[in-house]
Amino acid sequence: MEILKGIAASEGIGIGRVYLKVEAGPSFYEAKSAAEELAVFDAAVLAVAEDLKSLVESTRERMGAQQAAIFEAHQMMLEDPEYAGSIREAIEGGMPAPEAVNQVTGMFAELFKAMEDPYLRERAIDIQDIGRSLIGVIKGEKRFNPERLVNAVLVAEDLTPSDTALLSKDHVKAIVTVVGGATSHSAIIAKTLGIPAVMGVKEALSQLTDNSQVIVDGSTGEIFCQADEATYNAYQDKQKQHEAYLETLKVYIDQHTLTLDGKAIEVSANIAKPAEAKGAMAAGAEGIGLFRSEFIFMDRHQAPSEAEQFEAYKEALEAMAGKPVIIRTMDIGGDKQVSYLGMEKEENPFLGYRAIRYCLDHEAFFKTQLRALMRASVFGKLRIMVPMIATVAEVRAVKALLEAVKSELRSEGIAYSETVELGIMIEIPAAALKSAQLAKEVDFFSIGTNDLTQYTLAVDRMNANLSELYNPMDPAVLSLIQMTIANGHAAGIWVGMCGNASGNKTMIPLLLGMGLDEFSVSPASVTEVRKAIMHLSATDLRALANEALGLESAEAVKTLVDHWQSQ
Amino acid sequence: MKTVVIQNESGLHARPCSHIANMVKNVAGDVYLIKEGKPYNAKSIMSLMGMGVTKGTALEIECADPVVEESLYQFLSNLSE
Repeated sequence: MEILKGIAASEGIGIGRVYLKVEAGPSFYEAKSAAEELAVFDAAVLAVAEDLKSLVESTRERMGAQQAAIFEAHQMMLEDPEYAGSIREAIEGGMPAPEAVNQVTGMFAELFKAMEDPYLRERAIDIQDIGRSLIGVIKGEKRFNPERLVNAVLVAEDLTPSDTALLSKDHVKAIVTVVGGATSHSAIIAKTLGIPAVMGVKEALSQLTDNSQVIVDGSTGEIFCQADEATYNAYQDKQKQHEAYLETLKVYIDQHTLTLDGKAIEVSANIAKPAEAKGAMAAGAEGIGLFRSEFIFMDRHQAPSEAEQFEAYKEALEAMAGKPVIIRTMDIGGDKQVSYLGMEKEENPFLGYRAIRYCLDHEAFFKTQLRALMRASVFGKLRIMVPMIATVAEVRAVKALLEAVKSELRSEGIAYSETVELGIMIEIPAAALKSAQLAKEVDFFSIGTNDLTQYTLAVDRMNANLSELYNPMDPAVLSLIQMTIANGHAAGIWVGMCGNASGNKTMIPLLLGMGLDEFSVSPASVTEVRKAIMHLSATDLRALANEALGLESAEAVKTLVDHWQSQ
Repeated sequence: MKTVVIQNESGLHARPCSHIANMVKNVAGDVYLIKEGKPYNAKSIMSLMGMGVTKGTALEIECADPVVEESLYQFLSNLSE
């Protein structure tokens, strides 16, 4: 038995057979007569068209019409008379089918690459994508279609958004990737779907063999290959226990979160795409605590229009049926980049030109988002949240823009809700330290612990060498959290948290003791966090939280809480 | 033959191109958009996108069916984001 170790990225145990997702290299192909090659090509077009059809349908269902449009364009390109026609001509002229596809695809890709318009230049990627699929089918190589997988453990270098678009727990039992960590895009998707995942397993592609049985423990980050019977049985039991445990959590889906001492808490969900709101609702979320709007801006070649954004926000608001939805304005920069915004590569992107700093400099761009948000506000209970606030002046600038947008809408006779709350993320230490001043300007705070921790401790959360230093339980981070909550309450506003820490079992008692009002977690954790909160009393925890603030280290805090919980 | 000047900020991107190709794909005979004297197959999304149409580009429409020609003209003159 061999054990590989990686970063535990999504809880649970997955047992299945390895599916290695690797880029196909060149392989031998034996060409036949022109007529036969032509038949092979036509069959390949049909097969790829079939794949695209199901991809369009399930993408539309899961991620909305905008994302599906990408694959609809692929369909049209595949059936294009010029493209397919040129390939047929080449085959009729005696060229083997794969070579003909390769050559014609290359020709069209070059044509697009030479264009002035950056959007059209990038279409070369789509054409190459189609060419690759066709050649794969012609050569009989396996095609990646997660909907056809059975009990699979998906092993890949990394997963792209189009890979994750079709993932579901029914087909994929676990995910293992070479790159990425607990806060990467793939990890967030895995958590949202409730699929166990281990990331950052450097030797995954070389050590794991296709179709071999493996056990993935997403809670410890361990992967067991060629497990002996005892281990296999033990993990199967563990998996059953975990599933039985999840079953017991179901009673918490429809409950309102009340602490033992009667304080009402909101347990809401973090989502990245409007379509995920349905899942959050089904998981029992009392609202959306963080809708990361930047995912609407990513994986595309030009900024989404006001109409497109409006549709996305409206979809999320309608799905939540009147429950509050916090939509965070675009937070791009740092680890998230998009080509069309023309942001320069920076020495220190996390300390750089990102999120609200960029938005306030690009008023027209930011106003498009604010307009789309306000127009959507009549379809539910919208709360707008602004990331990366460091100064009071930034908040006032946002408020001025929002007022301008409202008066534009009024003069155009477009309806919007008058009760939209405006809040800010507290993720920069300066904002936590100035939370008393900031609280006078807004309707709520949401503490972003991922960035607050990295900025407070000066630890790059992407740097694996520093992962031991990165800990939201450090008393310095806890002090900033406590200060933010106290200052928020003193000004009469509510305070929530949307970072990873709000779902952490050790942190929950401390946060309740400090008076946190809202916990926003991944949809899969909603019931578990609700259950934990319903067994605690906020008043009783005040002393524990105060004691934690005076300790010397994160380890000491953990020991304190563990000891308290064991009593 | 009708001539139209494209007013759309981003020229002809995937969406309008796919719309045009869909409009004419079942029309009998050839349909061309002509840019600077060079004909491009209007039934082909690749050929349309490959034209590199930007705001201000003048296009001629060549189509034997006057009804289709008119609807293409209407579509191209009223393009918006």
